[in-house]
Amino acid sequence: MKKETTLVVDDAIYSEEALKLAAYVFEDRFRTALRRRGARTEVRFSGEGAGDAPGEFLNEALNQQCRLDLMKKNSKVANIIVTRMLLSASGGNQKSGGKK
Amino acid sequence: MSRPRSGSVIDKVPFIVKLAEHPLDNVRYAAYALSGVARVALALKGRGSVEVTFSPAPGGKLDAAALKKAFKRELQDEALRARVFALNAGLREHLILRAMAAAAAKPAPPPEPGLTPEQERELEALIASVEKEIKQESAAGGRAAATWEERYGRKSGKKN
Amino acid sequence: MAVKAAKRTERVPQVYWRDIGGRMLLTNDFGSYAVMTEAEFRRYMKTGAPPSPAFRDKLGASGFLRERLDMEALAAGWRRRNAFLFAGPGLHILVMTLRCNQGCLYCQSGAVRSPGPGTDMSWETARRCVDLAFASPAPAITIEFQGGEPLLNWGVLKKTVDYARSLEKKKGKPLSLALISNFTLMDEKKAEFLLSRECSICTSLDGPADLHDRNRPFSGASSHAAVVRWLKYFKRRSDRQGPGYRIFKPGALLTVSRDSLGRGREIVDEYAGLGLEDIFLRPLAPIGYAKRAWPKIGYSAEEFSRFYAGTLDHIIALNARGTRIKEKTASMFLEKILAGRDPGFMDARCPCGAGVGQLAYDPRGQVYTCDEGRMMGWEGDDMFRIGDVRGLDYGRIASAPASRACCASSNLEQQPMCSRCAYRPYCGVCPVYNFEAQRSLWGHMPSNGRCAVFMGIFDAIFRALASPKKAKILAGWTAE
Repeated sequence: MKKETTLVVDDAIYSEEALKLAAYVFEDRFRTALRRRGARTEVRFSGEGAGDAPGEFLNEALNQQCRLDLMKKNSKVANIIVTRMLLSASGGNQKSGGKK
Repeated sequence: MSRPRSGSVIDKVPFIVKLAEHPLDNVRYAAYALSGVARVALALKGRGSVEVTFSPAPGGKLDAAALKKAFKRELQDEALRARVFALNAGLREHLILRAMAAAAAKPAPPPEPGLTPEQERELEALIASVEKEIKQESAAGGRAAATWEERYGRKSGKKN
Repeated sequence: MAVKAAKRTERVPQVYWRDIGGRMLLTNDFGSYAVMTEAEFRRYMKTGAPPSPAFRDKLGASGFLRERLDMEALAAGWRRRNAFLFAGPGLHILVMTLRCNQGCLYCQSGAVRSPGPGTDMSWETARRCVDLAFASPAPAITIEFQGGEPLLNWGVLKKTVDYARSLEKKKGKPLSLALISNFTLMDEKKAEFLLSRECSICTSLDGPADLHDRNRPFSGASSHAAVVRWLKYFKRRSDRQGPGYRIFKPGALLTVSRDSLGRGREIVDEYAGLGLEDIFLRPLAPIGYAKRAWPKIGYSAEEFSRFYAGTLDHIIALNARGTRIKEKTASMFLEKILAGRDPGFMDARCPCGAGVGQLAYDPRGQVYTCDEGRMMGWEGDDMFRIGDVRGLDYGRIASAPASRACCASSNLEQQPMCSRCAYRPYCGVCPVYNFEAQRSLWGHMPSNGRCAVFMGIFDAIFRALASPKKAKILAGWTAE
């Protein structure tokens, strides 16, 4: 039986990016569609697995939002570490090798 | 919404938090920290407040008193963490950059050359490039949910 | 406990804290730790000063006093603890075959019974894998042979071992070899070959015979008997040593299943009785086949934490009575906590080793970020596939979406909960676990089972460290 539920969230609390990332996480279970309504966003869930969608979705949206909040404060150090790691793994300090 | 009774198990536990006392980032994190034991929803409440509502996962239960105590503790801890982090962010960054550029400690595997000015420039360029790409790719792989307008008529599916 | 932010926190350096049963554990980015009472913690967080004279020297030496930070030493220490950031993939896992002659209840390797296309690694593919491993920018490499049961592809395995050793001489790059086997197909000829090529040998031992055989059935015979027989053989050989080559002590590891809970002491006694000096209490992860079998064999993080704490206590007690045996996870974490060194534990570092510290090669020569990623590939999801060994170099490996995504998502600096956690200097996340269990590489740490398991392990270790007698024993578990 197809289900459809809707909730409305404040854009000040959950950014569009957080909502989109959360929707992607669940795309194999239910469909999510976002529609801006002024300073709020209507989130519509549909599909077989949409039963507990609002609750799970909001937890994930909060997860993503907290990560985005952290990135705003911490991206320089975070990116230095990742870049250093990838540079080393590529052999960037020296010639990288391997059969082509 | 049920009225919480002390020590009882109920279906929703709401809190109102004044943003003048706790910035939004802190409220979000404190709520997030407890999202392992409950579903949590945040909504603006009037001007200057946020309502945080905890509800149990399907089949689960919530202890209102324990949750209240835990949430209050998280808010206070996060306030302190945020302050300590803000005070030390620059110092931390300096130390990590210094560690990146420092010579390896002895005894060590083959000695690191440290970063030459050219390598530092390369690193800076890479940082800028990775910042941009991680933002685009890291969690969503470049794919994100669509609005109704974009989505209409298109099927998505996890590859398997 | 909560502490209200006070204006005098200006003097507090970056610290992380956690209540570990009524006492406060503090850690910092340099991997140092301190334990205080709640009152001491409140005073310290209010003023940034030592809460009592007894703390002054310790806090000063370990980066907890802002006015006494030795930048040079702290930076050097940070670099030493994160030495892996400056090296490339050092661990190369060659899956020699997907075939196996056992049907372990929790098999995560995707083992199959019969040969088929792509189930066995060809010599040509193995050679290319070894070539790629030696091209790694890492200053030294380890090649680990796994399966299925790798001895089922003995001809290719043997050739590959010799080829790898010959490349070691040619290229001058230090090489360690390791074999993970169930020992059911081991014989003396194979054993001597492996020992003479300085291949370290490891097997699975789940505990006493009834438990091991129930977890790891083997065609009507006892797999436990084979394990014990060959463990004793390899131990005798390593005790004797001999000229010409080093013989390493054999190792064994345990996969904790639901049946293991409640039998921790018996399992440890089984290991100690065989003279094994390490026991690796590995939690089961819901990946691959184990995910499907989880309702039968799985358990909660709390259940594992109770098992781990009790079993660790028993191991420490045995040590106190003179038996040399250490828990492997604890000893690796203690390397970080007490010795400030990187133990090479791919699962617990920032970023994790996927694609940048290790690579896994399947029998067809497809290269994955790690063995868990390879298992997901076998199950039909190639999310963690980097490419074909025939077309890769390390530039392509590092820039592959799988490597970059794993690197980014396992960066604790960008994990909301991990970045605040007292255990962050010692811990790590697994993007494969996150994806399998929580459908995203980032995961959701407040409800993440692996996070809860690791927290339980750290809690047990730090509680033990709080006892001077136990701390002395644990200090002896770090390598010199």
